[in-house]
Parts: sequence; structure tokens; C-alpha cells
Amino acid sequence: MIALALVMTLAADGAGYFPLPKGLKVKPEAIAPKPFDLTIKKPEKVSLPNGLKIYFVEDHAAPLVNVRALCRLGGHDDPTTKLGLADLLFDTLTSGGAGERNADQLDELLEQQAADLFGSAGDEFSSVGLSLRAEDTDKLMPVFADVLMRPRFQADRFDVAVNRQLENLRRRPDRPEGLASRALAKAVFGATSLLGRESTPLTLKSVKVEELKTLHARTFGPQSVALLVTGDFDRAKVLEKLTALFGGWKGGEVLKRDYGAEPKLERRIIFVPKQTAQVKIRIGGFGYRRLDPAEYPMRLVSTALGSFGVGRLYKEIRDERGLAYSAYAYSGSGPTTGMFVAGFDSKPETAIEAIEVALPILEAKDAAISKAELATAADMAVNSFAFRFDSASKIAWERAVLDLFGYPDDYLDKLRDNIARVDEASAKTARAAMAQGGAFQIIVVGPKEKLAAGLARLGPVTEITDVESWK
Amino acid sequence: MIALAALVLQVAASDVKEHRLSNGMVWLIVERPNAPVFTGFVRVKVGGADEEVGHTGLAHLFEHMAFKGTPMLGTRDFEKEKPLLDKIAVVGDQIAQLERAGKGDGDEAKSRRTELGQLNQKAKALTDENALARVYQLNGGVGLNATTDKDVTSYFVSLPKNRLELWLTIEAQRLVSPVLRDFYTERDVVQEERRMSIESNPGGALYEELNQLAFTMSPYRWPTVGYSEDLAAMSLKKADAFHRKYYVPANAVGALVGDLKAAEVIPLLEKTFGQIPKSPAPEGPVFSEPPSRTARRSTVTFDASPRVYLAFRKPPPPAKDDYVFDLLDVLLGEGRTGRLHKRLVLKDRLAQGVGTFGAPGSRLPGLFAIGVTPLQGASLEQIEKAVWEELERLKKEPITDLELEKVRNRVQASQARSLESNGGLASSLSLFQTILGDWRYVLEQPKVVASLTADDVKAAAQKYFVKENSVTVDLHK
Repeated sequence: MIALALVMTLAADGAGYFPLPKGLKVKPEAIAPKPFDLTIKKPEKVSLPNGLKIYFVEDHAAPLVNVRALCRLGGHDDPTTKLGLADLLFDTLTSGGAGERNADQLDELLEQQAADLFGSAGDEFSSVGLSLRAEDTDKLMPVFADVLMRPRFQADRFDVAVNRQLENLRRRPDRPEGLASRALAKAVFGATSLLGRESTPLTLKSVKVEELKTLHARTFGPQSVALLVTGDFDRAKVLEKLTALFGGWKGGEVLKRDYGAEPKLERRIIFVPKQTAQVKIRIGGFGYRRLDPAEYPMRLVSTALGSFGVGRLYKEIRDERGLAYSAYAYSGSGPTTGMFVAGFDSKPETAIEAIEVALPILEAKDAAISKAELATAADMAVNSFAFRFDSASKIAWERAVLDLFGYPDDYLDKLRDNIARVDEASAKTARAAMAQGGAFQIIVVGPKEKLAAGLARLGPVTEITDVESWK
Repeated sequence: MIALAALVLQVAASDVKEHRLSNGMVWLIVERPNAPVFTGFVRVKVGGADEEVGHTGLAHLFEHMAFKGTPMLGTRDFEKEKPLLDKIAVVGDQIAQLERAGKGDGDEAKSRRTELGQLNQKAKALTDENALARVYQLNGGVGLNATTDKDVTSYFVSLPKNRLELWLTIEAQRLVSPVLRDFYTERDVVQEERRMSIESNPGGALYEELNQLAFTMSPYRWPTVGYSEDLAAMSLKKADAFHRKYYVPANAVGALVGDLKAAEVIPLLEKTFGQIPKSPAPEGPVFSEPPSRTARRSTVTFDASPRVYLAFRKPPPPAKDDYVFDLLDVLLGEGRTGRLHKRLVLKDRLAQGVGTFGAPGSRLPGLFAIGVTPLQGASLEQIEKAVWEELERLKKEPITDLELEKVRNRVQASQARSLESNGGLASSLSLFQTILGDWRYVLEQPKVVASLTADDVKAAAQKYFVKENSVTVDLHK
């Protein structure tokens, strides 16, 4: 009988909506969550006599161990004529043999044991990681020590790494979104800045394998590397092992970086012609310097403006007009100014309209961020806080990175309170900073014949045909 | 064998609490009190493969629509909204019919579009179509998303543990009673997604071509996102019928993993999803894929550097031969010791990278594919020759015991890694329960792969790695 009644109800409904069973007629917002105490989990930090910091977080749920090295060396340390050096170093460090094993022997040993070794160069720091089965910890920890302290940088593997990186460069123009983000970094920070420059075939080819060895010898050591051990291990035994392996390690210079003076931005429309079915639009400027208290209002205003589902940009461009699959904006931190980025992709026929919808929002010409929007943004940040501590590797990684950047020990303890303290006045100040005084760098990548007239409507246009050589 | 025992202990069968509601929906629950959070999945056994020709992209479009709220979420007054939704459906479907008839640019279509715009404006005054995303996010939701593939549509999010009832309520409501608000705007959004993922993405364009070429009748041949013309002519009426057929509890599976107690979850399941009336589960697609009598090959012209896929038709899980392809996936395509990496990247220096993967789904016969990114100067002929030589080697030489042991170790470790997070475990359990009707596949798969022999590999290579079963697509400028 119930099923029959349902069929009748269904028949009575129109298109696009369906009957809701009586027992489900509940307003979800009315379901009050039961409060619970959230303990902020912290890693155990140990320093060896030589200064090597080790972060431990035990988690015996799975018989796996992760060891990571956080290295204070990155692409920002590359000499101008050798951009790509750090990428090659971390690639060959993990693929070019270590200790008594040549590259093939190292690969075979690790992969036979189902261990994964990886190295990845970042801009400001880099990492080397080994994921292994708990039962292999004693056997493979010395191998990880070899990789960090005694890499062989085998010449043939270096050649493979160079070729693979060159191929990456050749393929850079294939993806229009890559063209847009590269052009934006150059436009905001300057093509010769540590933050805007990029490797070229010339700079990559100028790197010699001996230079990797020299750089490694100079910059790898207990002063510049921290170890993170997480997962299913016995902390006392592993500490003993690590002390034996790394206790005699010395050195590790942290290279000085000169980020130069903050550039002065003026509004620019930069067009990169590319035959593509969808136009990529990125609008950028400055964010905020790391450790600046502006972080908290910036976070909330970023959410209110550009977050998935709730941000004004998303609502106006995607939901109201269907002009893009997604639209986002956020203000990020960095060693100097950080970077503000807004982005969306639209078909050529509607790309200019989408920019015209976005700009007044980004320029803060619409209503001020309301108390309700701030409260929503704050709830999002505070209620999702538990996910910063939901795995052993996250707990160790987050703390190690905060330490590397000099954040105070109680940064995470105070984060929720600092977010809760953001008021309309501080949000207004943050939003004004994000508006850049209108000096946005507007990057548009798409087909010229369909965009030229519309772009001219926005203002003077700088056209660049080759992002790589653009200064 | 000890390693195997140690790894599978991470998720023993007894850890998975199975609960079947009287309406047929199966729930899988794993208690993991490590952190005060949980991940929830709802999967519906419907994907691109269940669409009809001429209506491609409907399953995926429907996934988008499931974010538009319910009668209890996203509306200021649902009773006032309903008549507007009815009118929107009528006008919108008139436009869809005109599009279908090739009259989308005519005066009548323009006039209807103006009318639709006015109706949408009226409806928007009554709705808050982002309410669902906002409620999840302000309650601390992380990773809120949904995916559609050829087999399954999946909805998932992670939340703090005290939001369980909220999640169950919203998900039950949107499974049974989504409101398809702003359908025609969302259709345009999906067109943008197609432009992003296929038309301006060389990898996406080549993948679309691979499946189109590999299958003649199978519904795996068209892209999940759909064809542009089908999307332009998609009607609300069709979407409505799609929901009534496929979004029924007997065709859905739920999974919860995290800091929760099954004894407390089950009454909440009854209170929420248990309220949804029973309906028969739909039948899967019916078709006959004709045999392939020749090697298939095509070339895509695209403003991008070359890439190539070489693929072979294969049966879906849990066929024994599919496990052999799991083994081959590791042997040929994984890590720096994978045979193809050693040959193409390290020895011959022809490729920047090479990988293997299964495509495009697991409910129907699919493909084992090899993807190669050539280095500058390497020819397609050289690459194909090297790949075929490695495949021929498998037909002639038995793989070594050491290689078999490596594969066993890596399959087991991969399984452990993939199940380490709440999301990974919830995803795996719910996926195989949905596709195969049994989540235990997650635990059995490494054991079956471990039982395979060198002869099994040789026999499969001889059977599948033949020209008549091959599909080769490449892309260049």
C-alpha cells in the first residue's frame, strides 16, 4: 500500500522535483551538533647532538612507516643561469644510486620491498620521502640515510633527468592554464624575480652533474634538514637507529636569498594568443607576507569572495550566469608579498563578460563583506580544524613546515581564536588590500580572433606570444 | 605470506559492519577512532554507461544537479517554488526540442530563452541554490565533492564526528528528493567543463578518441561528460525520468569510516535512509559488442606535443584474467623497475614517461591501456616497436619468481596505502560493493594476484596482446 501511494504521489509531481518521505521532512540546519573536545595533536620533537631535528608521530593502524626529509633548499636558490638545478638535484638524488648501490641496484632493492622513494623540489624547501612496510624499517632506514648523505648522482640517470625536464619545458605551452599561471607569476613579481622566473632549455642544459654533487655537499646536513618519521614503528628503536645513522652527519648550509624590492604594480591586461576552445583567465596581485597578522582576515575574506559554493565570485560567475565551471579567488602568503589570484575559464564568446562580472567584485565595488559572510567563513575554518590533525603524516608535516618558516609554537593553538577575532573592520582592511587599488594583472589566454575586440573594451592590451621569453 | 597477513590485518573482514536496510540499500561501517572525524560515501550504480545514445552526459549532469538542494534545503518557500519549476520545465524542454531539431538559433528559441530567463529570475528570488555546499562547509566539511564515471556516481565529504546525523539527513534527502534547480544554467556549466577537460586538454581529447575507437556498441564508447550537442538538447524531463529509474535505494551503497560507533550509526540510518521507499533496482545496459577483426588506429590533431595510447580489450573484474592485468599493471607500468619504464625511459631513451591503467570502467569489458609521453625526436614507430617487443617477450618468456614476488609485495603494500585514510577505505569498500555487489573484493584482490603464476601471465599475454585486439591512438600537432 505504501508503495502504491508513492507511485500516485510521484505521478502528481512535476518535472525536476520528487516526493520527500514524511520522516525526512527535517531542516538540516536545525540538527544541532553535540560539542566535543578537540585535542590538538603535536609531534614529538627530538634534536640529536649535531642539531638534526626529528619529528615523531606513531600510528599503529596500518603496518606502514613514512620517513621524510624536509630540506631547506629549493628552486629559489637556483643561480639565474642554472634555473632547474634544484629540480634536477632532487630527481637525481632519488634515482641516481646511493652508498654502495648503483641506480639499478637501489631501484631494485626498494621496489622489491614495495617501498616508494621520491624526491620533489619546491620553491622554498624540498622533500625526500620513503614509504615502506613496517617490517622493512631496520633494513631500509640505512638506505634512506645513504640517499640523503651519500647519493651517487649517477651520470646516466642525470642525463635521463635532464631529458625528462626538457620534455616538461617543451610541453609547457600545451596546457593553456599553465601559460596563464606562468604569465601571471611573471606579471606580478617580475620575470627576473626569484618568484617569477622560470627555467628554460638553456638554463637546464647548463647544469652539470658535478654541480649537483657540490650543491649537495654544501647544503645537505643536520642544520638544513629535518626528519619526519610517522606510522607503525617503535620510537625508541627508531631513535637509536637514526642516531647511529645520522649522528655523525655535519654541516648543511642554508643559502641566503635576495627577493629584491617589492615591485610597484599598475593594472595590465596581458593577452596570450592560443587556439583553444576555452579561455583561461587569471587575475592577480599581492597577497600577504608570511607571519603577518593580516593572515586571519585575509583567510576569511578569501573564503567570502572566492570559495567553492559560497564565494561571491563563484555565485556570480558560475551559479547566476553559468559562465564557468568554477571561479575562485584567494590571497596567499609568501616570503615577501605573497600572491592574490582569482581564476575562471569560459568559452570565448563569454570570457569578456565573465571578466566584467569579476572585476567589480575583486575591486570591492560591491557591498562590504557582511557579518554573516564572515561568520560563515569563520565557521568553515574553525569547524574543519580537526582535519589538520587527522593523520600522523599531516601532524608531523604541518609542524615541521611551521617551524621551518618560524611560526611560534602556539600558532595552531591560537589559530581558532585569532580567526574568531576577525571583525568587519579588519575584513574591510584586508579586502581593500586584496583589491590592489585596482592594479590587477589580468591574464587572458585564448583565440585572438574571438577576443581582440572584447579585450580592447577592457583597456590597453599587452600581447605576448611566448611566455618563456617574456620579460 | 607473513607480509600478506600483516597487511590485510589492517582491515579485517570483521572490522566491516554491513547493514542492509529493508529498502535494499547496503551500508558499510568501519569504526576508526584515530581522529574525531569521519568520511561518508554514497554511491549510485549509474554512470555514463547507463545513458542512451543522444542523451550522453546525463548521468554527470545529474550529479551536478544533486548539489542544488532539496525541498528542505535551498528554498525559501518550496510550495511557491514548485509552480515556477513546472513552468521552467515546460519552457526549457521546448528549447531543448528546438535544439534537437537544429532550430536552436531561430526566433522561437530566442523568444523561449527570454521567457526562461525571466522565470529563472523569479525562481532565484525564492531559492538559495548553494545552501547544500554552504551547510556542509560551515559545519567543517572537507573534500566535499562528487564524481561520475562510466560506472558509478559518487557523493562524498569528510566531517567532524558530531555532524553524522546532519550528513545522513542531507544525503538521504538528496538521494530521494533532489530539486533540479536552475537546470539549464547548470547545463551551460557542464559545457564549460567539457571545454576544460576535453576540448582544451590534449590528454582528455586523446582519451575520448581512445574509447570511441575501441568500442563499437558498448556504452563505454562515449565520454562521461557527454557530447556538446547532446548537452545542448538535454531536457529536464529526461533528467527527471533518469532519477526515478536509477536513484533508488536498491541501486545505492553507503559507507562510513571514522570515529563513530556502528551501534549508534544503525538507528540513524534507519531514521534517514531507511525512510526511502523500496523500488526495484534497474537493469544494466544491454548490448552486444561485435568482435574486433583488425588492429584499430587513429590520430588526433591538436595544438600540443605528441602522446600515444596503446590499449587492449579485456574482461572486467572479477574475471581471472582481470587479476592478471592487475599483475601486469605493476610488472609493466609501476615505478622505476617497471619493464616499460626500464625499456623506454632508461634504456632506449624514447619516452619522458610511461604508465599503464585500466579504462574506462569496471562494470563492462574494458581496456588495459599503456600511455607513453615521447621525448622530442622519438618517433611513434620506435615507441610502438619497443612496446610491442616487451609485450611479445611476455608471450615467450615466463616472468621470474623474483618479479612475481615483487608484484605480490607491491600489490599488498598498495592496498594497505590506499586503505590507510578514512576516505580511501570508504571509497574502496563502497566502490566494489556497488560494482560487484561485494566489498570483500578489496581484501581478496591481493590474495588472488598473489596466487597467479608465470604461466597465467604468459597465457593472458598470448590471448590479449595481439594486433586484432589492439587500439592505438596518438596525438600530434
